[in-house]
Amino acid sequence: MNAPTYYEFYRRSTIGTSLTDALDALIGEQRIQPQLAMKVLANFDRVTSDNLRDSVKSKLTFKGHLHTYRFCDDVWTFVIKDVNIKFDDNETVNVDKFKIVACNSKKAGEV
Amino acid sequence: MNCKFFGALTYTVNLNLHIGELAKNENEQQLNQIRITLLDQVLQLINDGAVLHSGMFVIKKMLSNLSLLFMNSSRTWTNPLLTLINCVVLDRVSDSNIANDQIDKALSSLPFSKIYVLLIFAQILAEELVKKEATNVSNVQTHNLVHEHLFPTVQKLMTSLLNLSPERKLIDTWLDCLASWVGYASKAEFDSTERYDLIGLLSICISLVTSTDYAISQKAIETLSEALETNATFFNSQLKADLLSMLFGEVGVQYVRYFSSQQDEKSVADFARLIIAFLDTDLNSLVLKLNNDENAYIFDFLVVLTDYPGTPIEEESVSREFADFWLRFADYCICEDTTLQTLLNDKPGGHEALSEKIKALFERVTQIYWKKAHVPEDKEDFSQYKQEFALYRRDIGDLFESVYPLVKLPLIINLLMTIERSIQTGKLEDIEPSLYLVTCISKDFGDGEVDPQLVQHLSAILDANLLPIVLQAKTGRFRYLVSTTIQFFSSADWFYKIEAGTKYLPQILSFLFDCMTNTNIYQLSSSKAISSICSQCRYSLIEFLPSFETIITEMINNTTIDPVVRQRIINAYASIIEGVKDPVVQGENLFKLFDLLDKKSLSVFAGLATANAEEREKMVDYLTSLISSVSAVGRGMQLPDEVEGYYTQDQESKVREYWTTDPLGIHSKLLTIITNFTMTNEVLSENYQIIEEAVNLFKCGLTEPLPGPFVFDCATILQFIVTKFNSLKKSHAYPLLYSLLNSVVTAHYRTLDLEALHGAINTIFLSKLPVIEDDPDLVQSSLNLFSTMLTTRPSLLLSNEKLLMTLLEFAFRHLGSNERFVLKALEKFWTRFITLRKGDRQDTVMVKRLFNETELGYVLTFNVLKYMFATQRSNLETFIEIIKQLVAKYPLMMNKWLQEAFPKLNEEREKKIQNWEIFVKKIMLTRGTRSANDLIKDFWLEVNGLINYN
Repeated sequence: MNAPTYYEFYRRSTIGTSLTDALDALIGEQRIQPQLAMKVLANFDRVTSDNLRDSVKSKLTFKGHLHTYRFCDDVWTFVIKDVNIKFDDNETVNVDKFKIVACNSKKAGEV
Repeated sequence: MNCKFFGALTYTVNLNLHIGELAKNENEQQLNQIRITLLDQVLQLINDGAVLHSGMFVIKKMLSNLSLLFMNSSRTWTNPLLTLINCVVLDRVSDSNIANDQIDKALSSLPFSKIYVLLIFAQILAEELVKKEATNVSNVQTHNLVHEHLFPTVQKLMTSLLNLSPERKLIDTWLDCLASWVGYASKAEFDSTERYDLIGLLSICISLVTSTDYAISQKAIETLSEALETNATFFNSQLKADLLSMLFGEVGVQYVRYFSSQQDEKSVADFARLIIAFLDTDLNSLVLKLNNDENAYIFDFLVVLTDYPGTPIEEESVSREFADFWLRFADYCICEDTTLQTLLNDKPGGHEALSEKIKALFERVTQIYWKKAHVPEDKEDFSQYKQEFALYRRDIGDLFESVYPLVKLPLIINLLMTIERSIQTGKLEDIEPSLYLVTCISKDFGDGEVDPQLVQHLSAILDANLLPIVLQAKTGRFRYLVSTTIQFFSSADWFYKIEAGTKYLPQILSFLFDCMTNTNIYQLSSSKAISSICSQCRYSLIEFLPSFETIITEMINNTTIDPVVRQRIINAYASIIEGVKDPVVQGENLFKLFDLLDKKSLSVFAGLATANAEEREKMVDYLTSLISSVSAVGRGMQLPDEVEGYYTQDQESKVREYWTTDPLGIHSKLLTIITNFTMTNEVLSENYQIIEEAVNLFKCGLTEPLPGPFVFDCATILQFIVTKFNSLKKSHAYPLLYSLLNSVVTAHYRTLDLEALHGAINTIFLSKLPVIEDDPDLVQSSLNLFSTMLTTRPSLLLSNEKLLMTLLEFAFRHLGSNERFVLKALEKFWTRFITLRKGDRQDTVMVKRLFNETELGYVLTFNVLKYMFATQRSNLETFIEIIKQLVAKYPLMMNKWLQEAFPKLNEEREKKIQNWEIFVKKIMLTRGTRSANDLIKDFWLEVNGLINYN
């Protein structure tokens, strides 16, 4: 797939926020320009997205009660209650609430 | 050559540095001059035989420079490819261009080496255009110009070139060039309104698949796969029809046959990838093709390819490619069933016939994957791809799970019958994959969705001595059989929960205990299965309680048993005790268990003081496991469901009465155990894990709706907290005690005795404030405790003025913390304090007076602003939330506080905050709604001289 741009939501992950903080510090110390910071974050979006797609083979399954679902602006949201999550290594985790936000990996206009 | 490359690279660096300036209208002349120079240099390079022969990288770099120049001057230089063709034909730099229809003639006069350079330039142009930054106006203009001027030339060049019967290298580059243009065209269609017609080029590409030169054929296949995956809309119905007849016709068969005979599995896998990419574009038409017998050859071909010979992963990857495809196809058939039904409305019985065809197809596919799911014999090289094979098998399992709703019962019955037959014929290697796939299908079966046939077949297998056979075969090549069997029985609760299955519980548990005790390999998995079965089927296992006693004694006395295994088995035992429902029997069993644990631990305590360091470490580990086992009993004894309906009224009153009077003194026994472990022994009293288990033990009973062995009154727990706190020499375990008090408040906030609570808080917070201030973990856990009080019953905190004042000062001080978890705890505390949702009238009046009549509001506003402007972007949310709550709850006062806070803040700051007055006006207009988020963030960015990256 040739995605022209990548989603920016991994920036909100721990590694993403740490990177953003580090870039802020570098800009604050005038060691880099904001444009370079943006370029770094754009690379981060691309690399994170590509690696999650290509390198991560883990899967998990879950079972619970579907409480809410919606599809708005090409984004699916599911809220599941009383969920049992099973990982690849047969470990299980029980959680009261599980929220899935799923965006189209192919953006609008792509096929 | 390196020197030349550095020259080309220097052009790149300088172009990148100055291109912004050069691209301005007034510098057009200069840009033109640079273009002429670059073109001249390129001509010199391609006229140098040595460079053409071994320095193509230099030429590519120069062509890349030309592309860069083009992208920044596309308004004045619309067709760089045509310019280069003209220059190469004339062998000098010229401003004029030839027409597209003269390209044929021009190319015929050029040697292949120069045509090759032109093709490379066309490819580089596409790649550089893809790399260009995200959408903006100038990009759209570039896309328009490329579509209008450049692309027709590229198209002409590529079609004309193939008429010259070029050599393999040139066709190879041609295919690369096509792939690059497909990539660019897809991007351009996304970024602009331009639409590309690539049908002619793709049609040529399809014809190249039939080339007699298999290397070209292979490359064409790769290019087509990439094009389909990039953007399938470039293929119209004619192209798709051509592809279909080629892939599933003679060409496809010949191709697979040739590469199979050459044992070139990779090429076959690439071919499979193309087929999958093609079929994925229209699964709907593929499903409908099933209904027409004339298309049977397509599915036969797919099935044959899926069944590609060889061991998966090690020798073939074709079946892996197809596993994902079949899964998607099965999902499509299930999800789009209604659509298919509508489409076949006009044909009576059409939908039923299609469902049968789908079922028949997947029966064939699952047969193949059943065969492929056999774990290869443990040869030396298996370990190298074991992990990958496990992932492959997992995908097969997912496929079976997806196919089950289509094939339904026959799928699982077939697998069970295979196991039955294998037991009879002694063909043990077929049992493991069958059982593995049965597990994948049935692991999520719910209550009541089990067919009697299924139960009958599973019972038949157990009657045919599956478990003894598995136990005997647990070594060598069948070792996976044991773990798969354990796995199956740990997830087969749908079987035990029905009467027909319950009678097999003893033999299954016996099998699991055998696996657990005889080898170390299966200890963890089998103990987990036992724990899960005992918890799920507690009521069916009551009669086996006496048999468990021996096992439990062994579990407690045998010091070599893995602590996790010990806890799981004791937890399993406790689940069965809980299932008895008769408190007298429960009490007797628990008393024996705790007595045993108590005596065993006392005997170990005695040796602790005299043991050497190594022995002592082992003893402490063992003792930790014993106290963990006690809390495992607590977890096992928790009521599994809501109390209503679980006990009859009579049973409930018996339970209440028994545990209130506690005739066997189990509560005091437990307290003795806790005291022995956490208070009296010096080696253990500071041990974090032991204190944690004691805390867990108390927590087990906190949420119980009825009295029980682990249900203690609040006074006892508070006393434990205070006593333990006073006895601790180090602060590392303080958070555990805070967390216990937090749980007590959550569970009993309505009935908690204020005096006792404040006494406890005095000990664990006020008297230890200097210690707490130095440790962020303690700051966090203490703040969480107070937030819980504010959330549940604010008067627990507000009624103690001294505590409140100390706490507010404490909470101000830590707003400057760098730890995110401390700031999160502060956010919770301050927002709860400001909003005071659960406060009664008296609480609300008190907090309002604090804000309205004291300096509290101003000081909080000042500190929040002060630390917010100094914090990192990732911590900003904390401060935003507090400001929002203040604006929402105290709008008038907040305006005043902000007006006072900013000037004061500017007095302290070296770099003054500008425009704060406008910010204050804007923030007040938001009334603390979500719109304040962006407003505060933007102001923070402005003050800190940063930008919004989004």
